[in-house]
Amino acid sequence: MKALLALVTCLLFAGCFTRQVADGHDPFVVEAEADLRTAFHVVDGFLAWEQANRVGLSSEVTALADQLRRDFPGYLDSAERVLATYKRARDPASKVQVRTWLVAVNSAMLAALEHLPPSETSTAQKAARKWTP
Amino acid sequence: MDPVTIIAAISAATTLTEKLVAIMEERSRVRELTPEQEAEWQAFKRARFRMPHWEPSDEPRD
Repeated sequence: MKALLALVTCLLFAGCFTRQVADGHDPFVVEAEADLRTAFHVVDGFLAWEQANRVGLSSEVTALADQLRRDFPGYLDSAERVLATYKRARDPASKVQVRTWLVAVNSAMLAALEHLPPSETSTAQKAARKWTP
Repeated sequence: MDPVTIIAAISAATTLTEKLVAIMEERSRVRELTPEQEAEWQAFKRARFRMPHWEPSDEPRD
């Protein structure tokens, strides 16, 4: 019984960490779309949290938030634009551009994550899951 | 091992297997966004960008 439970537990964990892409869908696009939505929800959550708690936060956190307010929408739009180009062409050059903008978007997300409390991070993850068809 | 324990063990294993199958089925549905979902996403995103927490803080900068 213990061995069976151990096996099922291992399979459950394997299932949790393996993203299987439906037939006919490009794993690169699926991952890129999921990354962009996750990044958006983390940054969006960070900015809402920063605004609600601004009085008690250091000026560095607010400066980071303002930088993200200014730059992140452009990063996201650019990433989505090159991803749309890649979806039409499926060519290596567009793929490189998508990767480049994904680095910018994910760097912004990591900067936000550094300051975001775990409870807010969990909320952002749940919100991002809505966009995983 | 008595029959009741064996039945309980089989029942527990069956429940876990059902959960496993559900997770696997969910994972196998991961796919690219449809044009309708993409349009919904763009509308949602634009609406969020207009919310107050996306406004600059107006804090003085050095």
